[in-house]
Order: sequence, then structure tokens, then C-alpha cells
Amino acid sequence: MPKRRSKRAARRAVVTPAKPSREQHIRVRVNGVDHESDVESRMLLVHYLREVLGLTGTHEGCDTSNCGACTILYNGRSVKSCTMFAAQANGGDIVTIEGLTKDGQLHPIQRAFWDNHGLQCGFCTPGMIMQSYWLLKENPKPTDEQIRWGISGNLCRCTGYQNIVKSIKAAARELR
Amino acid sequence: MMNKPFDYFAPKSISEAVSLLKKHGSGAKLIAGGQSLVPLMNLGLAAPRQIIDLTHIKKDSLSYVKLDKDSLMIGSMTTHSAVENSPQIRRHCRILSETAMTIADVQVRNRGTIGGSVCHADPAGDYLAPLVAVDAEFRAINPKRKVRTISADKFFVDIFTTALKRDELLTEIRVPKRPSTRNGSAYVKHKYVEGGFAIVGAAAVVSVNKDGICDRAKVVLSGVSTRPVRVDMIEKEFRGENLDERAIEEAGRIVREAVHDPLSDIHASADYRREMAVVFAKRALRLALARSRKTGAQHN
Ligand SMILES: Cc1cc2nc3c(=O)[nH]c(=O)nc-3n(C[C@H](O)[C@H](O)[C@H](O)COP(=O)(O)OP(=O)(O)OC[C@H]3O[C@@H](n4cnc5c(N)ncnc54)[C@H](O)[C@@H]3O)c2cc1C
Ligand code: FES
Ligand code: FES
Repeated sequence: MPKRRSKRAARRAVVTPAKPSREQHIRVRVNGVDHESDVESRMLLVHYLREVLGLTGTHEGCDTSNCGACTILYNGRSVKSCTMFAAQANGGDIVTIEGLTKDGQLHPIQRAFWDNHGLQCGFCTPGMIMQSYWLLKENPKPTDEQIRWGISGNLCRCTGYQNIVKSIKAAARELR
Repeated sequence: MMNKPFDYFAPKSISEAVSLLKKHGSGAKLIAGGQSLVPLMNLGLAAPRQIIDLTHIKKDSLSYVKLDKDSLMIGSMTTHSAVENSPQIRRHCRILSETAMTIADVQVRNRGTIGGSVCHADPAGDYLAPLVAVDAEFRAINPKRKVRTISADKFFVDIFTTALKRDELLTEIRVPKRPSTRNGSAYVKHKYVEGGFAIVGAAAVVSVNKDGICDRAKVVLSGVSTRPVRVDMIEKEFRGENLDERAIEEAGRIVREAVHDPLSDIHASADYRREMAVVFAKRALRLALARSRKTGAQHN
């Protein structure tokens, strides 16, 4: 009996790859810094950023691509990092909220949110700012409607959005 | 919630992807934009044993928009954002760009794909009705590299069910080109919040002759049934007719009859869906008709 089992195990060993694909070795560039890590295939990108790299600015609200709190830039486009696996980001270039600050100076969008009361509890803010960053890159002179349309994938339970729109408009003026 | 462990593969080519599908069988899932699959996994509603990622396949082999003499060809990995913004799609199949714009939000559109959307076959998925209305064809490939073409109407079988076999991968969606004049199309959607799923989505495609008489009028509905509802009677009744307001009211009556067993769920009752199907089908028809009459303009 033990002999048979080991034979079967040996046969199985031939079909399964030596390195289990449940673990992946990834290389990613995050905020201009290269990282190499071994991650479980099932690890979400948002968890990788927060728990492995310690970049806790990216928030996790829903896990289902609904709230936008986890918005980051992936290869130049805004995406929700809760519906990507870290393994998928292998070879990718990521910017998180931490990447906007330069030499301790807030980015003009961050400053505009501060100055215009664009946040209350702050939970939605990193995602909101990353989405605004992408929006202003695509369209440096958005109308109010284009702003509202552009951030429609980011939910805020506190502000009622008025001051967020105001902040983005102020940032747009500053960046032009 | 933490997902169940799975094996992850990032094939570089289409043939590698289909061989992996064949090798791993029913526990394996392709991932395109992940905007339907990953939320389902994170909610514990799906637990694939293998994930085969299509996002690392050489970019232009599945993500492209091309034109030939007769058709517009869209690679299955083309994102909703690309469908929304592609000048070729806007010019030759405006209804698809118009549809892509109504899906979810910017981030989801930056990642989600047209192929993933049709393979997911959510009855409330927005592309379903317009693709049936424009007579789109879907191309799939299997591990033996055999290519199969399936009409949009046959592709959507049931709720979350398509005509694809387990080892087939959708590669392309083809839409026949139509003359830019005297053809009009429109997609209008009833939703509760910006970017929300369709309670009802109505696609209309209309062609008129030079006297404004209808050559073709098609209405297809998303969201009302387990698969797109083709309102065949409209195609038959209106050929050779002048599509005036009276005819549009008549179309509304035909839609009411065609939607005999609408879905009923937490979002809308069956009766409400039927009423809205009538209202939105008429709106789509009016809009498509107005566009078809703007002769010379690129409005189809
Ligand atoms: C917040 C939110 C709102 C949304 N709102 C809308 C909406 O209003 N309207 C709408 O239509 N959709 C909506 N969606 C769904 C969205 O459009 C998804 O992008 C789409 O349904 C799936 O596409 P995907 O590329 O993300 O596919 P995935 O999630 O990666 O895959 C979906 C399914 O298709 C299969 N598949 C993918 N590609 C292929 C292929 N090439 N061949 C064979 N099988 C394949 C996968 O195995 C999987 O089963 C929403 C999603 C979210 C998260
Ligand atoms: S956590 Fe990603 S969208 Fe909510
Ligand atoms: S500031 Fe609290 S959720 Fe937006």
C-alpha cells in the first residue's frame, strides 16, 4: 500500500511543475522604485502594496471595483487595485498616492484638496486624488460635468462631492 | 475575504493560452480585465483552480481595432475605454462606442474588455443588445487552432452562458460595415446610478431609403430576459413603411408583447421592466431614426 502511493506521487510529480505556480516571483516598479517579491498567486495588488511594500496610502473599501478607494495608476492608466492580482502586475509600472509627493512637498492636487476642504474623514481621498491625477493628465481643463463624470467610480460618503469638484478645479488651474 | 489558492499562468501567446485551458479543464478560468471575475472571486462566488491571464499575451494579437473592405474587427482584449474612444469604431459602429461609454466608470473601463464582457454574458451586460442588433459575429479558437464563427444571436445562450466550448477562447468580434448615409443606430439605457447596470438597455438600428422609407428596423433589448431579446416583429412590420410617430407607438406595442416573461429581481419587478422596455425601445428608435436622416454625416 505505501509503495503504491509513492508510485502515484512520483507520477504526479512529473505533471506538476517543480515550482508551484501558486507562488509567483514578480518585479514591479512602484513610484519609481524597483521591487522584487515572491507572492502568492491569490494576493490582490492592493494587499501587496499595503502589506508587502507598506504603502498604506492606497485604501481598500469594497474589494469589488465599486468604491474606488484603491485607485492607482498601472502602466499610466487609472485602475482599481482590488480587482488585480499582484502576480498580474509583473513587469508593470505603478504609481500610488505616496508617489505624488516630491521631497516632502504635497502635489498640487493634494494641496488643493487640503485648501478646499475636499476631504472629511479622508478614506476616499487617496483614490479620489489618484483618479483626479489621471483625469487632469487626460484633460487639463475639465468642465464641472467632465469632473463629475471622471470621478464617478469613486464614492465619498462624507463630503457630498461639492468640495471635491472645487478642489479638482483649483488643482487644474494650478497645474496649467 | 481571502481567495482560495489557485495556480496562475501568464501565457505569452493565444495558442499557449488555449493549450493551458485544455490541459486544466473545467477548474480553469481565463482572466481578461478581471472586472467581473475578480469581484466574484473576492465575494466567494467563484473559486477557479487555475487562472490563465490574457493580459500578458503580446498586445496587438488580441487588443486591436482593424478595418477591411466589409467589416470592422475588434480584438477580444480591447478595453471598454478603447471601444469608447476608437475613431474607427466611432465612425463605423457608433452604437458600440455609445454603449461602452455607459459601462461602469473610468477605472473599470480602463481594465474591462469587450471580450470578457460578452463571455461573461450577464443578461444586464450592455454590449449584448447592440452586438445582436448590428449582426456581429464572434470568432473563437480551440487548442487545435480551429477557428469557429458564431453569430451574436447564437452566442448568447442563457444567463451567464455562451455558445463557447470549454476549451475555446474568443479572439475577435466582427461587425459588418454599413454605408454611412441613411443608416442610424442608438443605444439607450435605463439605470439607477451613473455607471450602474442596465435595468433595460435598448439598441435600435434603422436604415431608410432616399425617400425616408424604412428598409430595415431592428430593436434588441438587454436586461429584460436571460438573453438579449430580439423584437423580430419590428423587423418584419416596418419594412417599406414610413417611420412616423404613429409607427413608433406601434413599435412600442410590439415590444410590450415581445417581452412576455421579463426578469424580476431586487432592482425591478417584471411589470416595471416591461414598461421600461417599451419606453426605452421607443427612445432608441426615435434617436436611430433621427440619425439615419442626417444624410452624409457619419452618424451610424
Ligand atoms: C463596478 C462595476 C460596474 C459595472 N457596470 C457594468 C455596466 O454598467 N454594464 C456592463 O455591461 N458591465 C458592467 N460591469 C462589468 C464590466 O463590463 C466587466 O468588464 C465585464 O463584464 C467583464 O469583462 P472583463 O474583461 O473584466 O472580464 P473578466 O472579468 O476577466 O472575465 C469575465 C468572464 O469571461 C471569461 N473570458 C474573458 N475573456 C475571454 C475570452 N477571450 N475567451 C473566453 N472567455 C473569456 C472569463 O473566463 C470570465 O468567466 C461592471 C463591473 C464593475 C466592477
Ligand atoms: S476597494 Fe477597490 S474599488 Fe473598492
Ligand atoms: S472624505 Fe470620508 S469618504 Fe470621502
